[in-house]
Amino acid sequence: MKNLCKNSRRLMGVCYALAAAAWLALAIFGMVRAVWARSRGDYPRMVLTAQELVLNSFVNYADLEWDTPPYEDPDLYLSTDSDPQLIWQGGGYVESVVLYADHYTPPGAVALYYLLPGQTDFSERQKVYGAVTGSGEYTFTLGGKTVAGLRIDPDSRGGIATRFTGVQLNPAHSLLWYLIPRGGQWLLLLSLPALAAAVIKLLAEIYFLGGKHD
Amino acid sequence: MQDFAKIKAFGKRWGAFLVVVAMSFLNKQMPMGGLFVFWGVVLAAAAIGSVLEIEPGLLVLPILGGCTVWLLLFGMANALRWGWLLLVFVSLAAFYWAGFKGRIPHIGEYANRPVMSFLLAASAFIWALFAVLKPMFVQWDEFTFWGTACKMVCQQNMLYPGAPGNLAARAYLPGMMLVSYLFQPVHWAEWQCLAAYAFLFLAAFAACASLPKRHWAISFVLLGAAVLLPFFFTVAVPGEASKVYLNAMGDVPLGLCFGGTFCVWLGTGHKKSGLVLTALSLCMLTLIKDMGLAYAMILVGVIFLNLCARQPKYTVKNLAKQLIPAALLALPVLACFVGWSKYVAVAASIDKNSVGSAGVSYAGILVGGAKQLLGIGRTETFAKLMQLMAAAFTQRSVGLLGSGVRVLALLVLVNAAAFVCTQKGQRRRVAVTFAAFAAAFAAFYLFHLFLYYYNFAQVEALALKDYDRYIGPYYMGWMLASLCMLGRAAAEGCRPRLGRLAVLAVCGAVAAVFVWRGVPAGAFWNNLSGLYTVRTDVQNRADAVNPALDWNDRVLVISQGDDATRWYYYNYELNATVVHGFGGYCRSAEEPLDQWDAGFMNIVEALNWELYDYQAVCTKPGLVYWLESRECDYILVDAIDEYFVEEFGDMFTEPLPADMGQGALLYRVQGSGDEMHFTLAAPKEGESA
Repeated sequence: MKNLCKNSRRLMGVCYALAAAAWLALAIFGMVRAVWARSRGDYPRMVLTAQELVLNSFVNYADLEWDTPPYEDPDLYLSTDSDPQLIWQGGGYVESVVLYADHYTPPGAVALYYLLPGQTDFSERQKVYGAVTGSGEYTFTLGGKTVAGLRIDPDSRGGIATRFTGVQLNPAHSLLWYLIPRGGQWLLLLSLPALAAAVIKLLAEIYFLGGKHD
Repeated sequence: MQDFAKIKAFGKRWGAFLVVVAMSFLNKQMPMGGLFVFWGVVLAAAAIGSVLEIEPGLLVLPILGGCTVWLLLFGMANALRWGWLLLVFVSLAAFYWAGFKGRIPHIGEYANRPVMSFLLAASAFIWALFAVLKPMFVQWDEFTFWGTACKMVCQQNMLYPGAPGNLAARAYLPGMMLVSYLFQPVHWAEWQCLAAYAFLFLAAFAACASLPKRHWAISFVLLGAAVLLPFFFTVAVPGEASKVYLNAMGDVPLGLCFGGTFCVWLGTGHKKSGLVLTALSLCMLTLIKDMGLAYAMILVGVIFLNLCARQPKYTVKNLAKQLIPAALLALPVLACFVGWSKYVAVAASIDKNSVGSAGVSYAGILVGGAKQLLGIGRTETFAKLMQLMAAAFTQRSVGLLGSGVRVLALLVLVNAAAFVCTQKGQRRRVAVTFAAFAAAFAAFYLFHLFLYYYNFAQVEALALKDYDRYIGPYYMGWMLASLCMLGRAAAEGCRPRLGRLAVLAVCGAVAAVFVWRGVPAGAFWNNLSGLYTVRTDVQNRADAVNPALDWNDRVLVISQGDDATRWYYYNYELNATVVHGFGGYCRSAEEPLDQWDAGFMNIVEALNWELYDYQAVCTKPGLVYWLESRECDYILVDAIDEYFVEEFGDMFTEPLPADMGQGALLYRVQGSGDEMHFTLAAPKEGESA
């Protein structure tokens, strides 16, 4: 350890190698966890329709007496205030969710909230912002969480006509999905090993080297 | 002849690379030019560092300051593009000359510093990340000034006071716009602008953590904490997407440049060249925004006291001598500020030396505020503001740690640790620096009290509007400077073990508070495209009509039901002059006094505050009067409602669609008076011309 701390390049190399190994281990763990959840029937992979969700402030035009839809479509909904919600009261292991919602006018923020087992109220701290991944398609990446409920806010403005065709839980993805880091994970993978090496080096200077430098 | 052969060999060796670099500026899809410019700045820092024997990480901020001043001078001469090209050619020529003459033999050694590796890697990461995620501006201030000004400078290759565009605040200082221009002189992209801002931040972090190579561990730990400081001094709202590193406003650059400039002086002040390097950094600080002048003068004062503390004996002669370097630092600061004031007076006929709608001068604010502070003619509002400001110091949050008093406690701890770990002969400097920063903070705080009184509407002042935004940067800069002093004390002080422990403890505390309270639901590392839907919609609509427009064209935007957000976005996106709407009543030319100029308007039949914000009661004769009096060429219909169709529908030569969900329509205003009508001037979105 003392020798390792004296050789800065080697220490840095070891930290990056460990980080790469840890990432690989996490990716494999994620895959195994998903397979295990699927074997237990705890991995919901389905498209939820409006009938399988609780809709708050999000009403089909067919049920609206006084509002005229911008065009005719049986799947056309209107958000009746600025906090429309689509709530799924099921549970299971969720890696990602796709919302199929074609907004007639821009929706503002599209966000997903999740409940962890034992929780009853959705919280701002458990929130994922949707990324536009196609026309009328918003993807929420949870990364692999056992949830006890989901809530999707399809818009944040109200009065938005939306062609809503479903919510896909755990869409199929390749093994690379587990292996390729996303933005924040890249940030951690690139910065944490260097920081860890620096912390180890400093601790070593404090304890092993008596404050002297190599 | 020999030189010619050398140039030929150089051309053979580097020609292809230079062509690739040049092409990278022209490639619109994946421009790499900005990143190469920053790497060039880093390389220049290594070269200059090896010549001056200064840690190169300390030089990036002064070099950026120097480039900004250079571009400013060329911009004032209306030759911004030439200034940029000349800067690149002069830099390349200097590299070539110095490289072949063997004047920078140790450049490799200096480039191989841990902080330099951080700069290269972090800049590449940010550039790549932003190029993929393409973050956009979404804050109002980015459309009223910061983002719009950056865009105007880049797209029109000139400083914004005289450039065509929808910018109200033409007198604000241009530092960040020039930094943005430095890294993207050809193709404008918001993500490149945000990356340019981040590069300036990296320069400040590097100045804080620049230590000799053997202390790389301290450098990296300091860098870790420094990178988190913008989060640490931003009030986090749970569930809200963080704007840190995705913000084109000047507050964070101001704070980091403030701290970074002090770090530059701390690392270079013992050398003659240190004065020049600090002055360049101070110029950068001054040019960021108006408050930069106050920050820069505070630093001049802190540096003066620091120089005094260095003196073995406190004689009048010794102390008076220190006024010379202080004055030499203050001169370029004042030159930048006054020079810009003179320039905007000429280019845009704006008097920059007054503040607020009342037009009080800076001196008037200081004198008037000081009098009221002493109780001479103190008004009730001023007394209330005094109470509010005093309470805010202990109660109002300025970041993840909470109120200012908590931040002050942390600063005391950091500076105390730096004091204890510093060599005995130099402790006085640490103490004096802390005292100077603290005293300046008190003055700075009082100045903001005066500004709230003189510069804000009463209702905004009594709410201490944007308190954390105005005060936070000082704390941020002070913390960056304190971390730098602690790092230096740990590296070179008399208690290396304690110093290292203190560095670990402080930086660990910053990281722990961030993880505990501040990790946002969405931040610069996330794909936040779901938040940009309104922006993207307005951008697409504007792109569809822009080919039909010119800067001389005057356009009135109709967007019924808007809360002014879309109107601001159109101001930013349209290549035409957006005409202001009005508030009040305008039913005909006979009652012109019943309305006032307002930015955005929702046209209504009668005032009904439950319907829309920003209402303007307007009938057909009123709209005709407004369009004629404002010399409008076009009307852009973005969103309509029942009243608009009923009242104005027959003025359009073809029937208005039921709604504007499929795109905005641009109409040319033709005829006058009762004969006024609107004809379609641009194809609908998605249709070819």
